Amino acid sequence: MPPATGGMTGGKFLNKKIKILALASMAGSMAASSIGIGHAQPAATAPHTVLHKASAGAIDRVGGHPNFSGVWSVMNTANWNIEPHLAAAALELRPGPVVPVPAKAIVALGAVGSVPAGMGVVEGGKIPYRPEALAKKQDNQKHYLERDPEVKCNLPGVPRANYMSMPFQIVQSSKTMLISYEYDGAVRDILFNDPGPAPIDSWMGQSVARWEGDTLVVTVTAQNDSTWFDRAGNFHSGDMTVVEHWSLVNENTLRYEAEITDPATFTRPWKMSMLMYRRLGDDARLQQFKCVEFVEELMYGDLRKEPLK
Amino acid sequence: MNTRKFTALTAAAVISALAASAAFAAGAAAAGAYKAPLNAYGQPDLEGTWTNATLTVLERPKEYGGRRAMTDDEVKKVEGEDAKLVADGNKPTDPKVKTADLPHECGRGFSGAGCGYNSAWIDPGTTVMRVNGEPRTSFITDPADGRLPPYKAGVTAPGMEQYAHRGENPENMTLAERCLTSFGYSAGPVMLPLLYNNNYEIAQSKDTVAIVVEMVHDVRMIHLGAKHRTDGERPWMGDSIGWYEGPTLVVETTNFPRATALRGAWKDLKVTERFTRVGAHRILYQFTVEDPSTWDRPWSGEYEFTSSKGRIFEYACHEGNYALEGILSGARADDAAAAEKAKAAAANKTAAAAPAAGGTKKQ
Repeated sequence: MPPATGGMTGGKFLNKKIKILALASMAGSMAASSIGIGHAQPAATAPHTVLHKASAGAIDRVGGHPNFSGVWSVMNTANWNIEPHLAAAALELRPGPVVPVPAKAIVALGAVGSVPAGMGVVEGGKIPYRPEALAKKQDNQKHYLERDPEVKCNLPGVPRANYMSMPFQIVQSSKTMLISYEYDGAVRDILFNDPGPAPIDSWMGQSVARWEGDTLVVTVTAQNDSTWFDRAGNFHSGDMTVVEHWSLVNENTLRYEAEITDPATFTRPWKMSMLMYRRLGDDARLQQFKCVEFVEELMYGDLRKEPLK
Repeated sequence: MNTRKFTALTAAAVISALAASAAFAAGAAAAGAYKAPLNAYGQPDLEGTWTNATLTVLERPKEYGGRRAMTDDEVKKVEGEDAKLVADGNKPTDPKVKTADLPHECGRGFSGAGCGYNSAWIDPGTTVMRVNGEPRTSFITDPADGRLPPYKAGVTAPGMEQYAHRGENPENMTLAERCLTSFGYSAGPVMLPLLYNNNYEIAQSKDTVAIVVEMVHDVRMIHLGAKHRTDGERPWMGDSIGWYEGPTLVVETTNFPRATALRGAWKDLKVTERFTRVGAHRILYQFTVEDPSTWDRPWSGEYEFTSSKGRIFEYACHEGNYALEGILSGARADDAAAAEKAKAAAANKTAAAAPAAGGTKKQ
């Protein structure tokens, strides 16, 4: 059995509180720099002023940089559709006698198969597709069940991995950063020494990072052309470059931006941005979603000795 | 009993206790000679990319008997034979050769179509495992014969029964063929090397140690200072908690799922691993396996990880798993051919039987 240590639940947060107080007096420069990254702090109401000041300086640091370690997730519907959208009966529809109705394969899911609304995460609202690429996107959406790599439990690529409904955990030290995603056990090794162009394309690409002040800038290249941005069929080519900006708004909130450059698909570079939230409490633990076995009936069911009726 | 005799007995008991954990004592000595660096959290720094590729295996081949260490001549022989295998396996394969013409035995247990792996595709290591410089005959050090203890009465070694219906359904295939885990016990625990991709990356934060296992991009999340789950759920790779003891990371894993049983043990299995940095490029890895419902006694072993210059590349197994579809399709084609053959045989039988029955055989 392990020796009795403080544990990672109550003790951890108590320690954090103490650290907040300890750091508060010497946090002036940190508070300034966290404001300096250009993201407005939420306005503090009078009763919370003291706490807010402490929070502004309470960003944990490791190796001189903000410490992103922890379990994070978005609270948005970007994985359904990164563009602004209203709720809908389904992503894939077919003509009905009066209005379009869900595609046959989705009907049984009822409200579970319908799309929750979202304000979108694309700056300016619309993705600047080339005309032929827009046609492909629209066709993708019509056939998303057959084509969305998530349906087959394929690795999600970047940026999509960051805003799926499942959380991810960042494990960071003074020299290393690892991002481990719950979905499909996807993982990214964030490289602080640029090894040069990746020798081969991959699903999650190659992530090379540098710190710009308190912002982590990660350039992701060498992703293959098989991942999508969402379930709505938004896609890219194999020549895409993603530049991510990660910065702490406060100790429990990350601001995430991704600039997408892919001249084969888009008329100009475009950005998405969103907030990510730290999971707190005893259940803030990354689970496993090894979905490969969950899609075997879908992918190989017709190859059974006796296919199910 | 005189004092001298008592002292001698006490010393014998101590020596015996030390011998029982001789491996770990050696590890501690090695750790003492080297000052392991601490990371920014004040923890022993284990970060980096590591490999456990080696020619040494978990269980000691019987020819070494009770010897933990290999002689210099044995090391030369093992490493030399491997070098020859690698050289032979790197020779170009004649494209005209059919699978039936391939050698029946081409080393490492491969034969026939299995010989299609040229050496370039595999990476099982080229050297005998050294622990604190000592070349080892096996990872297991306790029992002293370097082999797994016998199973408890009534417990049998897992056989191939679970694959009796191979090819009938995807679920009848191995976890590796389904891209659910590596084909050996790469992620463990116990983490064991195999034919290739024996690479691991360790990352540490204040409350977590993450071990990325190349196959199949599995990540072991070790929760520091946490307690084992008590909800009865058994996640992949079990439920790992950890703590630091001086220069050593201790990881204790329970709640193993049946799917990834270790030599048949899962329900009451507990694996304790100890990671100690013993050199700039070496981590001593020690393990103890306990499962009172499978073995009457625990068993232990050790090896060293060495630092790897490269980084881990993505092992996207499922995404490229055309083989599973191919195997199942092949099995269905075999089914169809067998059905066709049976039909033809039945037809022949009917044709052959018909004249006798009707007595109208043409002359």
